Amino acid sequence: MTHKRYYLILITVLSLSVLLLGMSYSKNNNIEIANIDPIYTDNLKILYSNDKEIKNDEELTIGIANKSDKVINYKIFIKEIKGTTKDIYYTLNNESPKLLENNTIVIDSINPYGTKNDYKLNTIKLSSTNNTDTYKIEVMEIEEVQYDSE
Amino acid sequence: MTANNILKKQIIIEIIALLVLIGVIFYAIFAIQKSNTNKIHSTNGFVTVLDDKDFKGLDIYSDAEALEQEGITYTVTNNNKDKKTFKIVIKPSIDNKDVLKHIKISVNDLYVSNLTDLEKENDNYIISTQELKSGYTKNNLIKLWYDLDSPKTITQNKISFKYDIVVQ
Repeated sequence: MTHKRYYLILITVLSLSVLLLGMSYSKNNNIEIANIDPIYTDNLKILYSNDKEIKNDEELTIGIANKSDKVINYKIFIKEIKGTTKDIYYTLNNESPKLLENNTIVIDSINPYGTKNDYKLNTIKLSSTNNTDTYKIEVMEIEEVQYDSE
Repeated sequence: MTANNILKKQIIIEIIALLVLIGVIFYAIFAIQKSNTNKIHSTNGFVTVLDDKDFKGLDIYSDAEALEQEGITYTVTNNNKDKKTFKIVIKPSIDNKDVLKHIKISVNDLYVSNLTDLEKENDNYIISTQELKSGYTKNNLIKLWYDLDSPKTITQNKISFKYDIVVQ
């Protein structure tokens, strides 16, 4: 085998390999799965429909799954308000708007993993008179459900 | 180095290169077969790709358990020249409400709903309404399961689903 012929065959074989590898790789990767990245607490898996920071009158959906074998209580609250308006109204799951107190939107419990209601959806909208207001919403686990006394 | 040794060395390199080529050919065949399981469909300037190879079929789960399972990927690409609104719709192979009311569906691991609670249009259930800019692609992860109250007589039903989009 001459050197020229040897290198020609080698280059052809390697080029074909690279070409085929490239083609099959691009064919195999034409789909990207765009899952929502969950956020985990000790016992909960939390999914936010968009960024935790929402604008006035914008809607945010939060899915909460219990990953533990016990009932977990949680609170959805406003962690940060960027704005000047004092009276903020919240709408939870398309119910009628309520005045926000203590920055708490909802306190609820969620059943153990593998049972009914081990996943809860909350759709939240915040409204004030100032359209430039923005809000940062968070979910946290709490020890026990505290009900407001009247 | 003698001419004989050089020849031996060249032959070994040739064999290795040929083995690489054979390996790549097998990989290419595997990749093509895998991609051929996707169902590609064109409608109104949209291209949809349905990939359900990882979906094992309907089973009984709680909602949190179901969201841990593999789902169906439904990819939508807008090849129109302008932004369009479209609905992703699903049509079950049976129309028995007693069965369908036990089926739950999630979209992108967030929105969970009973199938029969969804809005219906021409025998299709609307699972999502979305907007897509020209040239953009959106991936949707769809999961289906039977709720925990489903009796065995219900879950024995073999149901398949047709996915489609309705461009507005």
